[in-house]
Amino acid sequence: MPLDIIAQATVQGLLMGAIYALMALSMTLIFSTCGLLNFAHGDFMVLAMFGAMLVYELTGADPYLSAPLVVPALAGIGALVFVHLVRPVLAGGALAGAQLTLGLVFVQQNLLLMLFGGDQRNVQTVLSNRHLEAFGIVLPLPLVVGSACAVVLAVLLYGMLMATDFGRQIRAIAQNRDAAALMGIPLRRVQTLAFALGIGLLGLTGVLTVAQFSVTPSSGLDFTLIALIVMVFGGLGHFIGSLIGGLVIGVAEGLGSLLLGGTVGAMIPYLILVLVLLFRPHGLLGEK
Amino acid sequence: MTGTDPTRRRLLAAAAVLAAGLLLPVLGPAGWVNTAILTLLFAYLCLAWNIVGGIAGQFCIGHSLFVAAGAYTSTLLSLSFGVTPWVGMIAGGAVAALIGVAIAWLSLRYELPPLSFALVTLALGMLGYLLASTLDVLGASRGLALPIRGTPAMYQFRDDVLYYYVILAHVAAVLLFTIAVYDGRLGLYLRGIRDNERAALGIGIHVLRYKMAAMGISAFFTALGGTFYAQYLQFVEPHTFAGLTLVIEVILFTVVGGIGTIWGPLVGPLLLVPLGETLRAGLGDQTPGLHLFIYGVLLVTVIRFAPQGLVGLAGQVKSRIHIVLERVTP
Repeated sequence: MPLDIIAQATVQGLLMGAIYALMALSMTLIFSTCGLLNFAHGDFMVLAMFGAMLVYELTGADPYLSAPLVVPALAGIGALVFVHLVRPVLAGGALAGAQLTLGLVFVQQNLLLMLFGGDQRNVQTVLSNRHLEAFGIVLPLPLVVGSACAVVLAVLLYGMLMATDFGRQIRAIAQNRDAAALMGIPLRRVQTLAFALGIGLLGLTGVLTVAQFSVTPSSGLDFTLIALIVMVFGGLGHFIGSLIGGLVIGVAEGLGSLLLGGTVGAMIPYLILVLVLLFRPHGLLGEK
Repeated sequence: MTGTDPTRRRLLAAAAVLAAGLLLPVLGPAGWVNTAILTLLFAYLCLAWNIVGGIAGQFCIGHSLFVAAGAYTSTLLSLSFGVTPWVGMIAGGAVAALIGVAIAWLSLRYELPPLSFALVTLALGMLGYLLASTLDVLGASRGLALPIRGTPAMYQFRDDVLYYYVILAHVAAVLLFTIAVYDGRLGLYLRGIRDNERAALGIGIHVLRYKMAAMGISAFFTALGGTFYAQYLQFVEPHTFAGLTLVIEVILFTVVGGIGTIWGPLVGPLLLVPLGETLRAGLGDQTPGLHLFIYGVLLVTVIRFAPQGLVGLAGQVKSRIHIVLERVTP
C-alpha cells in the first residue's frame, strides 16, 4: 500500500474525527450536567441540517448562512424539550430519560419524513466540489472547513468550561450534583442552559457538516451512535477524553475502511466501544 | 375463593385472555389476521424482552442479535440440511441463549453501571447487523429466501390463521412462564437484583448467575420469535431481523405498557400495534411517516405522564377508587 494513500486516509480520518469530537462534546456536556443519555442526539443534528436545507431552498442563501437562524432555533427547542419533557422524566432515573429520548427519535425522524420525504438529498454550498491540495493529499474543502470550525468550537467550549463561572458551575455539577446544589449553584437553570447550549452547538455542527453528509431523516441514529462511541471511549463526561476519542475513532475508521474494506471499517468503532466498555469500563481517561 | 393467591388469580386472567385469543378467528373482523399476527408477535417479543429488561432490570438493547440468531439458524438449517424449522427453532434458541449468557457474563462481571450495559448490548447488536449484511453465508444484504414447501411439517402453512394459532401458542408459553416465575424464587431474586443489587448480593443471591439466567431465558424465547417471523415472511434479511428498529419498538411498547410488570408487555403491543396498523392504512398512503409520527407522540406522552406505563397508571387509578370507596361506605 503506497504511503501517500495511507497518509490521505489518516488526514481525512483526523478531519472527520474533529467533527465526531464536536458531536460527542455536546453529548458529554448534556450527559455530565443533566445525567441524560440522549438517543435523539443525532436527530437534533439532522433537524439542523434540514433547517439549513430549508433556508437554502426558500431563499437561495448559502446553507452556511443559515447558522444565525438555525442555531438559536435549535437551542430554543432544546430548552423546551428539556424543561417540559426530559427534566420531569429524569426524576425517575437515567433509564427513564433514555427511554423518552428513544421515543423522541421516532417523533423527529417521522416529522422530517412527513415534511421532506425519505429521499437522500445533497446540499450545495459555496465550498462544494472544491478541494484543498497539499503534500500530495487531496481533501474536500467542506470537510477541511468543517473540521477547522470544530476545532475552534471545541477550544472555545473548553475555555468556557475552564475560565467562566458558568463553566465552573457545569464542572461542579458534573463532579457531584448534590454537593453543587448545596453550594448554592442554581442546578435547574444551569442544566437548562447547558442542555440548550449542547443542542445549539449540535445545530451548528449540523449546519457545518450539511455539505459533508448526505441528508436523510433516518441518519440521526447513526450520528447518535458515533457520538456515543466517542463519548464512552473518552470516559463518560470527560471533555478532553471526548476530544481525543473523536480523533482516534475517526482515524481508526478511515484507516480500517482503507485497509480492510468498507464494512469492516464501519464495524471498527463498535468493536472499539465493546472492547473499551468491557476492559476499561471508565473510558480512556475516565477515573474510577 | 382462592382469589387472594396472586399467582392463581393471574393464571385465571391469562386463561381468559388466551381463550379470547382462541375465539378471535371466529368473531374477529374481516382482514384482521395479518394485524393480529403482527400484534401477537410483538406481544411475544415484548414479554420475552421483559424477562431481562424489565423483571431483572438489565436494559438490553441487543435483542436484535437473538431475533437474528433464531431466524438465521433455523433458515440455514432448513436450506442446507433440510432440517424442519420446528427443530431448527430449538437450535436457534440454543444459539441465542449461548450468546445471551456469554454477553451477560462478559459485561456484568465487573458490575457495569446499567447505562454501560445498555451501550455494550447496543454496540454488539450493531456489530451483528453489520456482520449479517456482510457475510455471504447469511445472504449478506440480499437476504435468504425460504424454499416454498407449504407443509405444516416444515413450519409453513397455506392459511394465515394457522400462523396466528402458532404465535398465540408462543404468547401463551412466555406469559404462563412469566406468571409462574414472577412470585417464585427466580422472579423474586431477579426483582431483588433490579430494585437493589447491593442488598441482593448482601443476602447471598448469586447476582451474576441470575442475571446470566435471565438473559439466557429471554434470548431463548426471543429467538423462537425470530424463527416464527422468518417462517411467516418466508424471507430473512438483515434490516428487518438484525436491525435496531425492531428492538427499539419492542422496548418502547413494553415501556408504554409497563416495564417490569406481568401484563405491561402484553397491554402495550395489544393497544399500539393495531393502532399503528390502522393509522398506516388510513393515513400512511397520503403522507408517509404521519402514522409513525402520531405513534411517536403517543409514546412520548405516555412515557412523560405515566412513567410506570399504562398498567402502572391503571393500578394508581384503582387504588384511588378504593380510597374513595372506603370513605363513602361506612
